[in-house]
Amino acid sequence: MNQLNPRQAALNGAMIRFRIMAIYAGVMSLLLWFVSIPTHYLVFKSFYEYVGWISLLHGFTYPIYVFAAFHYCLKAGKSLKSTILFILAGTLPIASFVAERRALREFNSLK
Amino acid sequence: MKRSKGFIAQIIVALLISATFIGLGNWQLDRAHDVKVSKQFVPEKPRVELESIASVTSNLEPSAINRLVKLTGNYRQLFVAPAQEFNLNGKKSRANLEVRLLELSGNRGILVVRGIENLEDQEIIGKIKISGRLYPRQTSDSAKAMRGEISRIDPALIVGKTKLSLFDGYVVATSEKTLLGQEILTTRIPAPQLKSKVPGNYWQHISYVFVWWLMALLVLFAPFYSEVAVKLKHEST
Repeated sequence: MNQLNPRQAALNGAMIRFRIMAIYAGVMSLLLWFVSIPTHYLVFKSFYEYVGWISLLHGFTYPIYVFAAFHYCLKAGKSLKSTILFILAGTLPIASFVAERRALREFNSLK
Repeated sequence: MKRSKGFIAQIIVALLISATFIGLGNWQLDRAHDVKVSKQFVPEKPRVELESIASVTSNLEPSAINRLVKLTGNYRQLFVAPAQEFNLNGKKSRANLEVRLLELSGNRGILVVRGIENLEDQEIIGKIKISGRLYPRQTSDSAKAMRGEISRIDPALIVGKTKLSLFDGYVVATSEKTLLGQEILTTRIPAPQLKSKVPGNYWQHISYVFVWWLMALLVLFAPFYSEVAVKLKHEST
């Protein structure tokens, strides 16, 4: 296991929480955009009763992602604009995966 | 500590955005409430005379919709409403419905849905006592109307075909009797309470309330963000 430098150690907890929630939010967004919404409004509408829980779960857990992203951005000293983009990344499919990769890259480059 | 004008402007903008988000949260709360109300069981009120809750000179009052009514009159004209959708034993069904114009005293009339269309024309003579439920007029066509048909159950479609003054809406008959009390039989359709279709799930809307109010809180923090972020960054280095 790599040794963390002091800056990484200070940010490590917030970083882990953000990564977990970013991956979770990404999966939920994919399910929401490509399973829940199409079956609600477009195709295989009878299937929606089995997947209605997706939007419900996403709605209740997105605030946890928001907290995690906000805390990470604040601790990492990110600009307000970056923080807003990190928070909004949880609503779009793929975007939170991109945010997670970017955060990890920045974390690894901390000296 | 003295703050710059720019900072005060940021506070004002944050307050405005925050108020908007709180408003959106309140809107979702209202939606949640509407969903809850639309799914609640509404107890039936006692059956009343049609004339006591509706008149030919005005549109149906919201309070009159869904009421169980009784009315007496003579059938005058017969129409068929093709491909009408209704729920039968929990399943959606479609059928051609028999709709008749009932003449009430005072040269007034109302459309009555008797039931599923009979292939043999049932002749009904004399005064009929009808019990049923009052519904608002339909606003969208269920099918293209041929001769003798109406594309939706709407008195506006037959205004030119009768001299009677028409009540708004229509009645789905649950029983018909002659003045002597003899029941007139036909294939009836169910006459359930009309539920307003408010889309969504109660808890889903509540979750959006939580999200919007959380966003409102974060926006309020935004003017202080840079200050706190710099402080935290210094602490960690």
